[in-house]
Amino acid sequence: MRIGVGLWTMRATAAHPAAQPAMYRDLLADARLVESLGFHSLWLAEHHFWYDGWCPSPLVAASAALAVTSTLHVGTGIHLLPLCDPRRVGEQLSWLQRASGGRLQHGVGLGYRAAEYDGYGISRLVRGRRMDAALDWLSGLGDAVPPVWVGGFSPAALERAGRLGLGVLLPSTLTLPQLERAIAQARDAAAAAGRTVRIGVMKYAWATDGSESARAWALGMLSTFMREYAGAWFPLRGRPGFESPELLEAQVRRAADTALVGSPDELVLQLRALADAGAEQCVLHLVGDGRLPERHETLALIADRVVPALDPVPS
Amino acid sequence: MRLGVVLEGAPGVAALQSLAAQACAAESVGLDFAWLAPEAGAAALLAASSVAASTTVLRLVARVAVGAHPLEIAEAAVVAENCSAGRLGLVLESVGRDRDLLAETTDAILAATSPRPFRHHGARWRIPANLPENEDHEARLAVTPYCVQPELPIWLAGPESDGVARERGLSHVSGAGESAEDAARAWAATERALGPGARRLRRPALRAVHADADGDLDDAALVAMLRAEQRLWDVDIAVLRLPAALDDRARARAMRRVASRVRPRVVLDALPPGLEAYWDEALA
Repeated sequence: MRIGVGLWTMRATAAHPAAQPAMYRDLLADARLVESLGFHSLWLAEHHFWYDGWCPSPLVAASAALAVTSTLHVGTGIHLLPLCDPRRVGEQLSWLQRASGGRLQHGVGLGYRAAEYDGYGISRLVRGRRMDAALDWLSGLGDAVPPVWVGGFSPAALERAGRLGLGVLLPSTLTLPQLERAIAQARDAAAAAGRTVRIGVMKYAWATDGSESARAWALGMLSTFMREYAGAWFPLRGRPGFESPELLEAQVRRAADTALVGSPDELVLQLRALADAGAEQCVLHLVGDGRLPERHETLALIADRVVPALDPVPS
Repeated sequence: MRLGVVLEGAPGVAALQSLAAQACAAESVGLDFAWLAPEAGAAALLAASSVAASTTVLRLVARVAVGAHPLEIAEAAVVAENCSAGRLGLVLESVGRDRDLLAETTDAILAATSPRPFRHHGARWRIPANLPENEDHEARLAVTPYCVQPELPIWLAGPESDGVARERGLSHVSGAGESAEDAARAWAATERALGPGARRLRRPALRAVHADADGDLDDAALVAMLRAEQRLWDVDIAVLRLPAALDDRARARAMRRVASRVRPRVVLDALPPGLEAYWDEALA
């Protein structure tokens, strides 16, 4: 299984204020560190028009990370493809893929925030159709563009990835049975089209020393992250999370219950279970806003004691 | 006068390394600007952020042809600007002679790159659109992250750009195909229109420079040309386009020559007698 790490969101939050240019400078140092630790990939995220400066243009940030590394892959987890003009994105992807020696991984998704679609003058109702059209266009460019990973787990997303023979990038909060069902759906769609589908998974994760206190700290950090993220944005039965406190707490619990948090040995077992379910690639989403120093410690622990214990993906 | 060079996007798989090598060569000899306009026009801001990662003080100028959604350009620009810790400027280039497209794109990007929530209602774009099916939409948007600089430098280039720039109090770039006399006429018009306000505008020019395959160039002719343009229309930023076929080594040699033999000669109006002869002898 290939292990990537993420997500570099470049957020300066109320809980962890930071200087944005310093965060972009740190991205370069982090990319070098992640490469030196032997990870397959580093993943960036995208959102728009938010108080915390969430990176709205991950391909631009990816270009900087690719420029300071030589073997590390850099991915988007995810790029809101329906917001874009497919021809221009195709140009950008082709340029960056060629310029980086083929080290870009293109995770795409629909997104969900109406404000982002409205900013670009696009009806949220047509995002699926725009995604289909963009993927068709990019598929026509062949190897000139990077491998695509379709984010999400809706039947439409799984069918889309399978039909076009792309990859799926399943979201963090799925349980193992849900992942197995989604993988089967994607593979069925691919088989029906005479293609194969690559399987990727994102997972909230943190490596600890195995103690209960360390686990509680990591889960507390995840909950803090998820409460603000889901509270402000997630439409929980049609309303923002903060207006539906019970649903929000359920979402926070779901994130904690499905996270990979524990000692390196425990993470190895959990990742092997994902590999047995069919995952070829896992992006470990190490939450923690801003410039959390502990993030480097968990990266080193995973690199030293988790990745070497996993079976590599044959090249 | 400040001097810069165009970084050529090397075709093939080594473009990031080649751009970094060219940029480092420019930075190491103290040139002021690197101009990025790769063959794939949509990739200029990608190239800028990659070059920013390899440099620390070199200022970057990304030339982007208008036509894309202004938010796409603005958001890519603010991320590249943050990657460069505030060293980026943006050149918006007109497409064909579509003055309205350049004007509306410029207006929307000026608004989007300011640290104020904004809305833009133009002939082509309505930002935010406030479409009824987009629930919970905003009346105004803020593009984040903010620029590091108090204001993103925006210059305009291409056909019709001088008039559009003048109306907005922006600089326009005298293009490589434009004569010094044309530039002088355009800037005289800007001075008439803006009065003292024209003094705060930089006067950039893009100029092609001949060099042989080893990177040797006729620096005396280049100095003469730049001094003439200085006298005629007060050009204060010259971005030099070296032949695209030069390899990175020859390009670096040409940049060093510009830095050591041209730059010292175009800072002041005149140099004391004997100094240039001394340089010619001592630096030969």
